[in-house]
Amino acid sequence: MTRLPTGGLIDRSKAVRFRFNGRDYAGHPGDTLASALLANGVRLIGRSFKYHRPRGIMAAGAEEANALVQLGSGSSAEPNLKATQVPLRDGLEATSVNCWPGPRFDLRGINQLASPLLIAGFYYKTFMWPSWHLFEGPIRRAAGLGLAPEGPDPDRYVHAHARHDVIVVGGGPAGLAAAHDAALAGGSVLLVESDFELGGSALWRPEVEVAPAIAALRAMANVTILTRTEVFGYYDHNSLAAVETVMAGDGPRQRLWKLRAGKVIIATGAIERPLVFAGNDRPGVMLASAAQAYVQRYGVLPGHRIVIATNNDSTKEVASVLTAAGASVDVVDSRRGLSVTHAKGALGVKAARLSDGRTLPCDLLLMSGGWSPVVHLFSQSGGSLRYDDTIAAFVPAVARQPVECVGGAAGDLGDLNIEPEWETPGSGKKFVDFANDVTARDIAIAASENYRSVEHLKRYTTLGMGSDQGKTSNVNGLALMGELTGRAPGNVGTTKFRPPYNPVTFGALAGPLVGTLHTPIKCLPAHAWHAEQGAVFEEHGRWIRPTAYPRSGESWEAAAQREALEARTSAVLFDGSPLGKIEVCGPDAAVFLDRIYVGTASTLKPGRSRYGLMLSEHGVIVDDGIFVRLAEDRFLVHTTSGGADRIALAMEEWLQCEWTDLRVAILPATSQWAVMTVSGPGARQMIADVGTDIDLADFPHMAFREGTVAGFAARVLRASFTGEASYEISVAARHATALAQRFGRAGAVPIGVEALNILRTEKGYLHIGVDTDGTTLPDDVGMAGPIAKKASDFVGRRSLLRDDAAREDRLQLVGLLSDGPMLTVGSQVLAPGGTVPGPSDGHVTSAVFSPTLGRPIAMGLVRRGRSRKGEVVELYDMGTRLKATIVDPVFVDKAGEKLNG
Amino acid sequence: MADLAAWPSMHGSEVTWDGAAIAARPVEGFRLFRVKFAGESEEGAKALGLPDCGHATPSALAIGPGDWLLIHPEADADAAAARVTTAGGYAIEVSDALIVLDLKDATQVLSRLTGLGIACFEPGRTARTRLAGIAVVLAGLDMGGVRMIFDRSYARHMRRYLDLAA
Repeated sequence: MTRLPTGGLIDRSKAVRFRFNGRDYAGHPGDTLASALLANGVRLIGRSFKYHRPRGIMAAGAEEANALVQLGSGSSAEPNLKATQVPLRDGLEATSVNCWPGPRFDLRGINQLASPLLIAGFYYKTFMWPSWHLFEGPIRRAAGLGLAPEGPDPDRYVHAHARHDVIVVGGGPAGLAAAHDAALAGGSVLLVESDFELGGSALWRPEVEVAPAIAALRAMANVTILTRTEVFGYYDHNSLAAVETVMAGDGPRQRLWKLRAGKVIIATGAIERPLVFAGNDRPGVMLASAAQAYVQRYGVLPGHRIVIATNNDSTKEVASVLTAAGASVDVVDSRRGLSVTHAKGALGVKAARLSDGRTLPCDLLLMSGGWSPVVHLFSQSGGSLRYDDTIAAFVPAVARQPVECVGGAAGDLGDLNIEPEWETPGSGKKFVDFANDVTARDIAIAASENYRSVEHLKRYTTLGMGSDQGKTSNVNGLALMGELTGRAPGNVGTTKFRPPYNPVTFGALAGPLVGTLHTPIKCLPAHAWHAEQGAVFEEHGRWIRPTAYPRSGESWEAAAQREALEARTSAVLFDGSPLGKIEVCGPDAAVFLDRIYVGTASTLKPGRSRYGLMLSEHGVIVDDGIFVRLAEDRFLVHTTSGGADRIALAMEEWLQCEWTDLRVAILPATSQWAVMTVSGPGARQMIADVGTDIDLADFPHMAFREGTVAGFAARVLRASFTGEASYEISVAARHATALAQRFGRAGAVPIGVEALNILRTEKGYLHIGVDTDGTTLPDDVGMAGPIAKKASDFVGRRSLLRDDAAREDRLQLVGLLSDGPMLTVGSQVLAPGGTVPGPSDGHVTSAVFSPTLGRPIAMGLVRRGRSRKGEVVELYDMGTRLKATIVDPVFVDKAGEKLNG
Repeated sequence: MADLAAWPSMHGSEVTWDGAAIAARPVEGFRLFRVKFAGESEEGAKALGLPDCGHATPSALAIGPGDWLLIHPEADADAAAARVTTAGGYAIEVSDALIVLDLKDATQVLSRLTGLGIACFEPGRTARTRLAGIAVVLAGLDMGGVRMIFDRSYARHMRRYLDLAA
């Protein structure tokens, strides 16, 4: 045990039980996993990323690059957490990462034998023959550190917004003082601290008094304090992203904050840098300040015989603290011409070899290569950095947003008297980036291959790309590159700091809109009635709709066949409520619709309707529907079910941006109306049976009437998507269920979307987005007629005059009859010669088994299809070849006589 | 096929708002009309006493530039719609298209969820924003309450969200 008998901020009156690699340990409230492991004498935590070298604990905070652990298992697994940032709690179970069977003996440690081959850029130069993909699998399996969760995350995450006059990031001495000053000025202040305690460096430097400042801030009504909250991103408009770990029992696990501030004060302190000497990654080699933190904050003495290697004055305080705690301390100061050149020991440091040839036995080797202000957020905000020779570090220079750095983050590090020694002489593996196993030799290789730019250095060597994002490695790496290329560190520069500062769970980013909330799904007003009828539901265009109503022992496919046949022989009920409904009103409504649709609206009489195609500026079909003239200045426009919102927005855009002279109002009304469509030879009689005041005898196809049906105020349109006589009955949504019940009692058979798909395919009615794609023009689907007749201009017309639109070899919608089995949607029509892979002559867009004809039918877009009727073509799908004859796309009732009932 | 197990409330008759993590009470006994003008709306809006963008009166909410939502007791709803026509506007009934919920003590949580400042929820103020991935209209009520209006087809989605996002 290395726990000191007194001292620290832990609660020694309580024990916290936890497990690491299957062994039971105990710590105290206030411990991190790292401090508790050190207190229990555990120094070996895991294995490194590439070489599988033994690694221990090198830091005490977010800069930890070695001590990664896996928490939990199964769906609750959390890989690659820094042991220094995991608060200890009862029942915590942690394991090492990147080793098997364990960190003491790791079979993949064999990688160390191959280390001369695994240098920077090795995978750019090797594994090229015969194919990279041959090696990709094994390499990916060998990489990745911890293991990803095996199932959906069982935890809950929420998002929240907040805005404050001042946001202070960092609750150390500088941040507390800045927050206090800002609060006295009267504005709202938010103080954000990533640790579970306020205090920052004062937590391990008890001589710095912060308790009064904390108490004062807690007493101020205009101050909000968030602990356990990491600000990980700084974006435009002075907005920050932070993730809060919520400790409530059944509540969310984390809360993602989207913060806006009038001014941001960055008080994130500074991070101590390692020294670059051979074996500096051994377990037991640690940043000097971390050892002080373990003693003074956690009451843990991480070693008894300690060597401190330094190049600056900050270690004086460390040596004093460790000596007072009972350790024997030797200081090796490169400013006096003496350096540690090698850390000896395999699974833990045992001695330090010095540049004068001596060897000092030790169980803890501390290093201090200077300090780097945590300027990550400042850089993310767009601020520029400059290199300060007096502290040998990059500090904030010019801000681009209302942001200020204070304390260590601003470079206020006291009198360090630093004399950098970026690389200690001597041979051996000298690690620069511990997380990604990047050594000083890798930097030299990059320089020798002319990857001199800091951006190229990063990408070629992976310097700074590990889970610690280069917190301890970037400055050392770029300074080494500078030495190798004759440039000062300031002239090498840094890479741009990017979010996240610390790894963030995907769950926090996704927030609550996951699972069934991920995509807002609409429900039909009569959903419950459909469920009572045995409907099987499926999502169609963001609506959850009945696919079919299978009876006992019946598959949904069989049900759809039965329902389609019912529509051809009796009367069926289809819930078409999602049908887009937009009222277009105003003195210029007809002119507006003339420009929007291929069909002409201005010649339409009130009470009548017309089919229209809507084109993009490129002439491509983007929607279709029937528009009804309700009055001289009022139209009811129907869009496709999935297009209601999109088309309303498109109309607004034309009106507000291009045709500002037109007096038109666009009023979406889709959800107001439930649409129950009664269709089939018996439809008219069925409507009469439920009761209506509309004269059904004088109600031709494409006419519109208002009246009552079954006692409910209704709008009724004679339009058909089945090819049978149909009545689209719109009632207020609250009456949807009652109307459906009335028709159900009258004998109407409910049909689902799948039956409707069969019926419309039998009739050759196209389905926008299914039988058309992003290239389909009106003539491609045989609808050039209305264009030729229309006198006025409309959106997309000019594009139809392009040479490409008049090409004879365009894909055209035709019917396809196979020589036996059903065709598959997406099957390719092979060009003459039938080579695979080879040129395609089109593809199948719709394919069903027609219960009316008793055979499979299909539609497809085929090159020059209309002039090839009668031709037998070969189709290819997933290794299967079939033959089909090109025919007219209307398979049933070609004359359209059934529409009139 | 849809995973019905993931939609337990889908087989129920109607969505219930009882017991939501954010207390919600449906507003009933009113009719709603969406109102726009064809072309310039300034004069007509003034004649009808319609509020400016971002504001609301007891019977009208400005939900966008030149876009209003009228909310009237059933007794005088037809007369209100007629007044719109007289003033040269166009009104369509949307009573069945929308869910109107009064949320109790909700300003803080809605501010957190939407990013809108607390001032947006003061009585007489209204905002149109995005919540739970859908468009909503929010209007401040007395005593820290907020009226929330959204498309009825999203009722089940919103019911779940109010529980999970609080």
